[in-house]
Amino acid sequence: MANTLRLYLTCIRNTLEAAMCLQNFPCQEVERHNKPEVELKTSPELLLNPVLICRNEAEKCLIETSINSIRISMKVKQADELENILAKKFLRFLSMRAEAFQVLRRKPVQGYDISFLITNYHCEDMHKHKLIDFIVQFMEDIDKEISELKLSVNTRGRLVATEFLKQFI
Amino acid sequence: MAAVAVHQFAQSITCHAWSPDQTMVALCPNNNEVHIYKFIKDRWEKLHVLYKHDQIISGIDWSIRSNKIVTVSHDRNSYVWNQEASEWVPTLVILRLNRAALCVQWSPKENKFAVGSGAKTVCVCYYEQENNWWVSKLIRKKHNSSVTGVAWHPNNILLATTSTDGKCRVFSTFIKGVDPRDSGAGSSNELKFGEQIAQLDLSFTWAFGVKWSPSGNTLAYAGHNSMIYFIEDVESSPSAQTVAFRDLPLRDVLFVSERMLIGVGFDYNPMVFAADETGLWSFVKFLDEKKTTQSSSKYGSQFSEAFGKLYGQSKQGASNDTVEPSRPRGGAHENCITCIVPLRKGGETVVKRFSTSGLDGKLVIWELDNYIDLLQ
Amino acid sequence: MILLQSTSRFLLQILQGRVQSPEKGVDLDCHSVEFGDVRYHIQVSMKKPQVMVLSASLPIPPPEATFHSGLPVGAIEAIKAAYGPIVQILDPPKDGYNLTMKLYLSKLPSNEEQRQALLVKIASVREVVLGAPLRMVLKNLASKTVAPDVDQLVALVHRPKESFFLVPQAEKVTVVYPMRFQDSIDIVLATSFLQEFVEARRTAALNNAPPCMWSPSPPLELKGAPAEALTANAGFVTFVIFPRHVEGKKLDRTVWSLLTFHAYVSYHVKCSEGFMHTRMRRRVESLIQALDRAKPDTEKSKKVVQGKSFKRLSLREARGS
Repeated sequence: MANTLRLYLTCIRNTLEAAMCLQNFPCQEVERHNKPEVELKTSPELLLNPVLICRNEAEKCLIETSINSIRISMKVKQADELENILAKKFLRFLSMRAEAFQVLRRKPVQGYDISFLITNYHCEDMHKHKLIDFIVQFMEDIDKEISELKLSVNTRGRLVATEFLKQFI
Repeated sequence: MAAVAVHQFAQSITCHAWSPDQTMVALCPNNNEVHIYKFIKDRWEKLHVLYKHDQIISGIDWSIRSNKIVTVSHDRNSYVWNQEASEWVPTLVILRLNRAALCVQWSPKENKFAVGSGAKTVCVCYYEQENNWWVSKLIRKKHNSSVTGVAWHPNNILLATTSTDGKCRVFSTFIKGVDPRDSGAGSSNELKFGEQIAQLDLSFTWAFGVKWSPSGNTLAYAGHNSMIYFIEDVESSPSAQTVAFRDLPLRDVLFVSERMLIGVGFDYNPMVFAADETGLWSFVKFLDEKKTTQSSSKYGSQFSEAFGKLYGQSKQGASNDTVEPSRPRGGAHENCITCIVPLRKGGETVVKRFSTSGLDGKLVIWELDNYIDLLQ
Repeated sequence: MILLQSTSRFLLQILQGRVQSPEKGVDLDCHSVEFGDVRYHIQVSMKKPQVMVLSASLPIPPPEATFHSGLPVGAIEAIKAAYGPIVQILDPPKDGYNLTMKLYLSKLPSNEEQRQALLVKIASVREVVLGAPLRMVLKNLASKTVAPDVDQLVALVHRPKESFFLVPQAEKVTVVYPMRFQDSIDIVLATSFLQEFVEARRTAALNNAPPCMWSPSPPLELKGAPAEALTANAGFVTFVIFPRHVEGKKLDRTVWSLLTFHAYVSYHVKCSEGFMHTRMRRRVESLIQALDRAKPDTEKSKKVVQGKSFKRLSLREARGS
């Protein structure tokens, strides 16, 4: 299982290296405005083909690029009810801190659990390679966090059950 | 061996230009100002701040003989700055643009300048003595997207442009009363302002960084899918060469001679391209020696696949099973290089020194000492 | 503390305090609310320092488990049996309470150990009162007496307006809990926990524990139960209690465990959520730190040219900067 994660993340990293070649680009539609073209989508020539990277049927990553901005959307693994609520809770936690995570999009793109919006301004303020490191680490962390939380719930449940049943012996 | 000086001027530099004697540099620190620095004794002193635009300045050019600075900005305006005593005095140029100005260049004779814009038009401006102002003539309806780069042919008439519609075009900018009748340009067609001489549709994606070789025989421009295009005989029967490279795309290019070109962009490291005796262009090497020695082909091949997906075409690439953590390249620049400017000595046609500026706020001066070696 | 304690710390502390220093001239009038909506009111006046008045309010029972004269079946007998002459039940109880008792401190045994045990027993009044009907059924099981309610479904209240069910038989008592939670997260966590009960029971060490089952739909034992009882968003848990689980000293423990099973699971679900909350917050903090690392050092960006530049470096120096 760990193998597929490595491959998945490497593929995402390589795509981001290529896609995160952004530049300051003023809006063609409205004078004196400067907007992320990947959100605006009014000038199709300024958009590149979106790339979808799938780890399996349930987990995937969509990378949409434009001349001045890139949108990265993730679908997180949710194999059962428990993973489902753990993912939801964790993601809600993150969106509450959206301001601290400047690159986090307030609402995920339709069909995905979480989305990042990175603009040329972020690439000016931050080192691109570290930004990519962050995105990849983020994905790894979410995966890890959900797995570990699930394990801790099961472990705790086992302990709680054992202590209770011991009372009867 | 190549970078001889590294100067940190700001957090990010948008563009820069040198004074005629190369003692002063004008740059935009990624805001709406132009800062002029002079190298005095052993340090840079900020001499002037040109403060007139209200949005980021996208282009600066400093004419060599007439010592005028032209600036263009996302605020749709352009100013021509004249030095009077110790002050720089601005003159507003009515470009008649309703979108941002993106790039600017003085013509070789410095009697005109061209501006590329987000309005999908090109402004060619000339000075009208009687009214003491600069007049803008527009080349309209020829581009399908923003004009990202402009470059003047040595004959002061032909202008090449690049656009985010992926095409490179060449126009005539002949203006009656400004340009003499026989300018060496061939047919009478070329004498009409705004006439399109050629349209080059070689790139799948956005085109940037167009330049002519010193003689005007060769035209080069970069495509965002890590390609660079060389075209000979644009005016008569254009023949094009496409050089694909394995690394990140270029933003700007500079011909250092007829057969050598430097490209700069998202790899933070200038790339040397050269043509052999038969005129075949190819990538030679990166100029800056990197700290970490990664075999360029392995590193680059991973991007080739990714680029292929982004641009909807498959490129031959190796398999993506190595986990390469993103690493800084360890060169002079630490972020994208956006601008490359020649530092010519006297009337030299060959450029031995040039400067680059980028989003890391650095201005780096490069020297090509072992010039002949580079060609090997 | 993993298991819920049958003794109310609040009550025990007050009782012990009063008994240790009866001369302390302070009037006491204290209220407490405990899990499952059980409330206590304990008073003592310096006019009568040797008498304490303790009132208890119980969760409202659902229709199938109503109280008789405000108290569960057998509660009064259980109180008399547990406390003897120390306690006098007041009829009617104080307004808003199901039970009011007078505690005669002068009648406490002089023996230190016995006195302490009795105080603990008084502080466990919840178990005595609410657990009375359950205790009766399980006592019959222990003595292998065939009770009059054999094979019938008995409903007992354990939380406000909710009951759990017993099917008493000669050789065993089957206990069924419809498990309900409000929060969607609680529901999923609880379901996960409850399934662990079934898994844990399968281990060799717990062979002698009551057999335990979980199902998302009502088990057969609940046939005949009222409709509301048949909906449970976290499924149904069934325990089968055998005589060995209720013999001798184990009876009290078993009564308390079964009486507070839902509360126990609920408590641990909440603990789990608290733990997850802390973990997630920590993880988010570390991610924000990772993002901060993506920014260039603020010091570096402040090294803007005002006299600090690197003039004419040899390339070795340039690479080093």
